[in-house]
Amino acid sequence: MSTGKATTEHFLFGLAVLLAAGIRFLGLGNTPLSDAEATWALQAIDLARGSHVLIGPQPGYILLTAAGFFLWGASEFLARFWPALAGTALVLAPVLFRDRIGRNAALVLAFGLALEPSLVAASRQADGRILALTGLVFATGFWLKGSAGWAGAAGGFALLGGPTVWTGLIGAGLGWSAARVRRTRTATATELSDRGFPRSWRSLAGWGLGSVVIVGTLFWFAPTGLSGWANSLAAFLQGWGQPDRTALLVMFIAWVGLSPLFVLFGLTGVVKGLWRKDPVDFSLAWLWIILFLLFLVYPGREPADLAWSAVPLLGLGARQAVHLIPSAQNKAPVIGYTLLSAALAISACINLVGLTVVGQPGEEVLRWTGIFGSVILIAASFLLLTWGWSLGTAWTGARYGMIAVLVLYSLSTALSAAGLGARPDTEIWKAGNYPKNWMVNLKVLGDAAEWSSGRRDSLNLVISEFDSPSLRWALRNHFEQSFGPIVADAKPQAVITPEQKDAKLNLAVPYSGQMLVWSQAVQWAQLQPREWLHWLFFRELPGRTETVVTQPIIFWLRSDLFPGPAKSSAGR
Amino acid sequence: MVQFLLWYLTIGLVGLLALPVAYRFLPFLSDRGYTLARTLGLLVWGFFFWLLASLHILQNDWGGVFIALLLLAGLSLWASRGISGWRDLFDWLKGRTRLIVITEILFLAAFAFLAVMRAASPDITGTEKPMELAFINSILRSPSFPPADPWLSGYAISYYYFGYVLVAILARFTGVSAGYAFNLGISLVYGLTAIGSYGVVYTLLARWSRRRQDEGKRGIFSQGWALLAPLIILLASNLEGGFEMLHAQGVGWQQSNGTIAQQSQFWSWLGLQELNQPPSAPLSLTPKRASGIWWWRASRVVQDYSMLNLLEVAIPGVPFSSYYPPDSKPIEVIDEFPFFSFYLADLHPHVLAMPFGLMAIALALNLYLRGAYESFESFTILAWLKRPEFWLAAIGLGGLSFLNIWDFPIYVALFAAAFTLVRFQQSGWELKARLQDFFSLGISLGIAGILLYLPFYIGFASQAGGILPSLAFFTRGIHFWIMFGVLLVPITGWLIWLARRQGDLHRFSVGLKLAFGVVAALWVFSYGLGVLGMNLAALGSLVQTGGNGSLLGKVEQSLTNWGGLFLNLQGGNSPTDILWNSLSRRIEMPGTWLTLGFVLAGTWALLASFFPVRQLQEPDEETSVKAATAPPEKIAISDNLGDPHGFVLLLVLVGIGLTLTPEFIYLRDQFGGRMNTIFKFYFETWIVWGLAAAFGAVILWNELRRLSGAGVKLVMIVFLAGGLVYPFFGIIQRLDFSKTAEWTLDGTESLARFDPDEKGAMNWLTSAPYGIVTEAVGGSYGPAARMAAHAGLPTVLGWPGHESQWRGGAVEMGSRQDDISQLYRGRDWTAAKAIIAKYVVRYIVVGGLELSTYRPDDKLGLRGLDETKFQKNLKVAYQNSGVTIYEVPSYDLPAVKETN
Repeated sequence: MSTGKATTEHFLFGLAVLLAAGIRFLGLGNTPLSDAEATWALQAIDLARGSHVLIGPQPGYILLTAAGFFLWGASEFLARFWPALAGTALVLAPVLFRDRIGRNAALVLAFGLALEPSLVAASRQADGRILALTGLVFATGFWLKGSAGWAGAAGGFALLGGPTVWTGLIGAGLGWSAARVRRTRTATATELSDRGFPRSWRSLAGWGLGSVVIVGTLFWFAPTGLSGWANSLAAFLQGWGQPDRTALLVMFIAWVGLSPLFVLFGLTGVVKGLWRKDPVDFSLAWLWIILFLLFLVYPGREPADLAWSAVPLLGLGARQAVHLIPSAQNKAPVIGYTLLSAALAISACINLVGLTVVGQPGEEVLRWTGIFGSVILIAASFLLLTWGWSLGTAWTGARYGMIAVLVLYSLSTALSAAGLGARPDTEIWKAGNYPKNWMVNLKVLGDAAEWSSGRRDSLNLVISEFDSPSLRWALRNHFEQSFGPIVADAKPQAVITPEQKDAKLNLAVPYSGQMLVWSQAVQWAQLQPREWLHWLFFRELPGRTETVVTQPIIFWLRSDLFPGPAKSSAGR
Repeated sequence: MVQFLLWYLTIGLVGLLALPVAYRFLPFLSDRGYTLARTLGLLVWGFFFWLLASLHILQNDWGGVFIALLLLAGLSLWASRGISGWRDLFDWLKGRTRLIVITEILFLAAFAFLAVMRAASPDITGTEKPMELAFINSILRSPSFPPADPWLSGYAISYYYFGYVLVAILARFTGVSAGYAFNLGISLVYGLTAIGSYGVVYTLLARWSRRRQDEGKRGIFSQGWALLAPLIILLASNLEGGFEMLHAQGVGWQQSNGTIAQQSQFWSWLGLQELNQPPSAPLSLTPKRASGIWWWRASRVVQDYSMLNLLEVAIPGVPFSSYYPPDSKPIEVIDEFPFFSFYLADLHPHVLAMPFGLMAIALALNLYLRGAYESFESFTILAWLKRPEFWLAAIGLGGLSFLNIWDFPIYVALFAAAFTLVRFQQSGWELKARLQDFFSLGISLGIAGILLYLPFYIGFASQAGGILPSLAFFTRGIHFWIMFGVLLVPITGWLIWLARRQGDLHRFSVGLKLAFGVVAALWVFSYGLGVLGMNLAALGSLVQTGGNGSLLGKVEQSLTNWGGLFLNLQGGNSPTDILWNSLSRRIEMPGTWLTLGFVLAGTWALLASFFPVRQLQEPDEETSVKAATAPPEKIAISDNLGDPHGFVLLLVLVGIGLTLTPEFIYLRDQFGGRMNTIFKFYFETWIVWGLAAAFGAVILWNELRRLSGAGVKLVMIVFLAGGLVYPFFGIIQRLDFSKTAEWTLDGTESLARFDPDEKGAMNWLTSAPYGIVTEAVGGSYGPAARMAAHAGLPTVLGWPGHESQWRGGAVEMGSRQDDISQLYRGRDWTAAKAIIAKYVVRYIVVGGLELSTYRPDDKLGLRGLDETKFQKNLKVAYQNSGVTIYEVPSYDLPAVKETN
């Protein structure tokens, strides 16, 4: 990459970036902001409007997004723009590690970073998590390359990314310490020699501070962003005092169930790294172990936090994957068996998934037959190939076959994580309340506005006894709105209240109401194993009320505003 | 306990961060500022946070507080560059194990002691505690700085509130609620004051011990003896406690057949209120009152009487002193001393400022000791502006203004006096030059201190309205000795010992002349002002009016009003009566001004005689380098320069100034009399004299031998024991070990037990969105404005009397009190809505207090509280069996005003 001439490596890195950009930017504004996302986006809007706002613990995201809102107006796309950009840029980080992990491994890592579901999900969430991660990875890379200034700048940027950066920093610090201890013990190890390492801490600190001050205040446009940065530490510490936000089982399924390919290769790398004590693998393995354990014990964890531990795991996996690059021997049988075993594995999987939607009597037996049949055929063809060619050929074909299946699966999960699947509202990466049917709901409100005033964005609306950041976000440009109580003599054109028994509005004039579901929150820990399996392949959730908690609201419109003659006081 | 530990660890961290700063900039203190590091760190931390929050660079949240702490760490790193590396600091610490261990034990013991005292009686009710809680909560909840006045919505706090900022940042940083922070705050101040006073006296004694060793005598255990300072300043009390004990035992009361006489000549003469009444049976040594609050009286020893009171009971031909004061109504004068203040535990500015005042003394001491190693040139502003020490002093002394505005001129004067004294020692006495030294440094430091805290002064109003001559008001000698006897005995003894040691007593006449001159000047000044004041009305009549609306007419009216006011304050019928009667009374009862006059004479004479003019030896290069880092006591240049006695004489002098001045003039405020002037001046006197007394007592104890020495020691012990009677009985009464299960540091906990409805409503408001709340308006010291105080939300009006004091008038309050009454009593929703809109009210509280405050009053023709309009038109946001809170819709409100 240093020659300045375009090479295959350049091309492949470019391809990885394109792939990452595509999967991150495609349909970025098509899904609504969840409550968690809207909380930060609303602060960015207030800031862009020049309102006094207490900047929360995601100053990097809030300030950069505010700048975007200021220039181009608020939208879902812009709300997620910076995370998507940072997630795309992350794909280039392996360039900085090529000298240490190897050129091929760096390339493989770039594609892994582009597709890994937790990274994809984090890149499409309107918060600062991926900014912190990308900043810290780049900071580490620059530091190892001897560019203390750039490392400081990237580190400062990372510090503005929100509470999770502290977990990353602790993990990185402990991982570095573990590697350091080992290096001290095996003084002969030269691969990770300190020679050439930058020791200009002052430069690192100076650039880091500059970065924090410049980005963290948006060129002093919002100096209070510095407080927001410090608040991220408070939020991180508070996270230790919370009850578990995400059950360990859910984290486990998000990890293994959605990215088995990366886990498989990564864990192989972990074992080898610890066993063989290769300095690079050893350091990455420790880093992953510490990060992973930190997130397991941290009560404030969310599934998307897996992105932190995904990076070292992908690094380890990439170093394993390069060993699988095909050799020239026995190409045809290997390709053939790859295709055959992949097809049979897919067949087994389809039948396995079919078990979760058994409808006809006797179908279950057929499904099990299909599963076992596929497995037996894979085994039989393996034996035949071993007999006809060699064990190595059979083994290579089998491995490629399984990897092909897992690659396909990973592509699918990456697309789902990006919210590009059929049911973006049932993705595990979305924590908390997520708006459901938002377009329909907004259309209902728009229709009402049109009836009332002839304009779709003009409606005098009071949202009473109900508040939700995602609703505030959704209504931000549409109506003259106020949240809070309502007095008895008030006559707003429309009112939104939560659904209640015997719902009625005790106002001076009659209103008619329509029930809508504003948002839903999936209770992942309530899912049964069979439901999990079904969800993994179809992203469908059971209809049980304990698994999906919805937030029904009633949209009330003043009766005299309905088209035609005045209606009765239904709903009063 | 967890909260206590969190605060202990946090203040320890702050101390560690500030240690390099103290170590670098206080090199001439024997403890290198170790004992002050916590105080210094807290002040700098608070200064950074408050200033940057006021400039809207930091948010008023945890992040802002944390960044300010990082800035302190940055300052510490910068300061560490000026010392010979960290190794130097560590080596110094290693060599001072004994000092460090004693300091740490003392701090923990003092902090824990007061925390236990508070845990046994933690309630934040009564006196001005609700006001202080309101400030803390308001600072915690205000969206931005300056913090909102919790009891006057739409306005910022108009009070010296820095101490509350410091408590609030600790509360914020540790995540402790204001209920805990209140009690931990005062306990922390106690601990910081203990080590602060210890550190100052340790330096003085270490210097003196070193000199003794240089003279071939045995050194003293300075680290141990210095503990006398916190004992005298923080535990010893005035002698009223001793009189309480004698009174309770019936001493001085005639008894016959078990019946106690109704009058006692001795106790009547003594003139201590309540103690002039017969003791209640059964007699015992334990002070008692029907209310249980016997300990209050010690803070009201000094009493003033207006001339009118006395004239009404005057008996022609009989001296005032013979009947003073039985039949005249005293005017309350507050004479708190530290133990009383901590016992009462109002988190008031004069208490909060204590450790910072001691830090200011230490800064002055450091400057004074520097004089032994450095030639002080005459003051030039540019040279001083380049010195970081100047800015450290400006932050420290300027902070005092914001903490307790009265302290600012006092400690600036002490700092400038220390500089002047060194200049005197180095360059000799030249009146004009020394006055120039004093005023140029004092004024420069004052201006720098004000500039650094400028946002505080913008919008700050005060009730202070100039100075008034004190004609009728003065302190009786016996009261003065009851108040300060514990301190005056060792100070006087030490002054005499010092004079004898110096053997240069002819200079006493110089001091005597000066003392006479000062007292006479004050007298003339006071009476001159008095004559002017009393004749203002006459002056006004000389001004020919041009009608009421004309300028001259206004001048006439003003002069007449002021003249009348002055006469009324002094309580006289005519100027002549006041002048002559007050003069004769002062001559009849000369105890205080004679005492102070003689102490002043002695102090001044010693200052003059103890430090004859000497030429400073020019330090060589090596000495200059050492002076910045090495233990300074080893490289003193001159014998007399840097002598600790000189600085102690300055402290005594400051105390004399503080006690003598209000004998003749006082600051005019809304109370009319000397109440606040005596309160603030005597309190500071206790601190500066307490240090001097501790130092003097140690000197006397170690220097005096033979029988006369034993006699002096015995007298000191008797007086100190007399001063410890009060805390002894106070602590016993407070600590009821049978109720330890109920002990808590949460000052709001009892409210939850005894009035859960009120507490529930407060809790709801605490977590409710920010907005203005209305509730019952009422008198001071009561429960009015309790929701605002506990939830930190501004109310339309809280305690009107206090608002008037804070702002020097009622202009800002306008018609708020009547409007709120109308809001609650009125039936018309439209009128109520107009009031709600006028004050941008968001929450309306209707509880028991509102129902009782706004009950029907037939005499005044007032209706009772009408809740129907709220019920019909507003949503209930919170409700329990005793309290309902209504919330006003946001669309009915104009945008919330920024505080101004």
